[in-house]
Amino acid sequence: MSASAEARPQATALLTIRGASGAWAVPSSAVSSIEPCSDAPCIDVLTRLGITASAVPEAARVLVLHVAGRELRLLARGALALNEAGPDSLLPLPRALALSAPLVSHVALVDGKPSIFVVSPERLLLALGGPSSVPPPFETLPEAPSC
Amino acid sequence: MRALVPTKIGQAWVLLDAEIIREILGSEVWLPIPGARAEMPGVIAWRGRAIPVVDLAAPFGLDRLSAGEARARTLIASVAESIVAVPVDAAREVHAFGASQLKAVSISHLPYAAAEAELFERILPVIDLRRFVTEISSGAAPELDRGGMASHVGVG
Repeated sequence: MSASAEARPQATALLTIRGASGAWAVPSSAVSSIEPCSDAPCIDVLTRLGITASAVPEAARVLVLHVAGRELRLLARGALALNEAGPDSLLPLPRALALSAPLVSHVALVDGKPSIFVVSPERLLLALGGPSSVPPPFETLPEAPSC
Repeated sequence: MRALVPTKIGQAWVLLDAEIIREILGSEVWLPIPGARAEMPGVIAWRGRAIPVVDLAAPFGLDRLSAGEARARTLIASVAESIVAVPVDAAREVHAFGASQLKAVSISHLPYAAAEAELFERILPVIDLRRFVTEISSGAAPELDRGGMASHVGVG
C-alpha cells in the first residue's frame, strides 16, 4: 500500500433516521443492535434536542448503542438507512454552535448540501451523566477544528 | 475612506463593512441545527467546512429564516476569528464613505448600529457584524433587548 493510500481518510458509516420531524444520524460503529419498541425505557433523542415529535404515525424502533461500557437505548422514529459518509461530506459542527447544540458533533452532506445532523453518542452519554472526561481516541468521529 | 456593502434584509437596507466580506454567493441550502438560537440557526457548507449561518433578521425584528427557506444572496464574512454565512435578500456594489459621511447613530434604532450614512436618498445604519457575531457566539447578546426595526430605516 502506498503512503498516500494509507493517509487517505476513511469513510464513516452512519445510521440515518429520517422521520417527519427531521433527519439525524449516529455513527453506526456505536450501534450494536436495533430492536422493536418495548416497555424498556429509552431516550427520545429528538425531544432531548428540543424537536417536537411529529403527530404523524411513524415506525419506531430502538437503537442500542454501547458507549464507554454503557448501554444507551435511543428511540428512532422513521425510516432507517445505512449510509457511507466520505471525509469530504462529514463536517464538524462549528464551535460557535457548540454551546447551543452540545449533542451534535457533525453535519453530513448529501449531494454537497448539509442535510443531516450527527448526534455524538459520547456527548449524549456525558449529558446523561456518564464519565466526566472522555479521553481520545474515544470519540467516534473527529472533533471540530478551531473555526 | 471606509468601504461598505449595501445589503437588503427583508424590506430594510443596512451597510456592512466590505473588508470582512470574503465572498457573495447565491442562494445556499442551510441545515437548521436543533437548539440553535434564532440569530445563528444553522450551518451551510463552504469550502469543505460547515460554517454558521447568521440571521440578521432575527435581531432586527424581521421575518426570521425558517427551515427550508433561503435568501437570494449569501455573504461569507470573516468575523470574530471565524467565518460565517449571512443570508440576505440583496447586496449592491461597494460604496466608499469618507469620515465626514459617517455620522453617529441618531435615527436608526437597530441593534448593533454603529454609525449612519446616507445612500439611495436614505439614512442607512452601519451594522457592527463583528460585535454581533462575537456576542452571539459567546451566548450573550445584550443589545438584542433594545428592540426591533425602526420604521424609517432604509425601507424600500
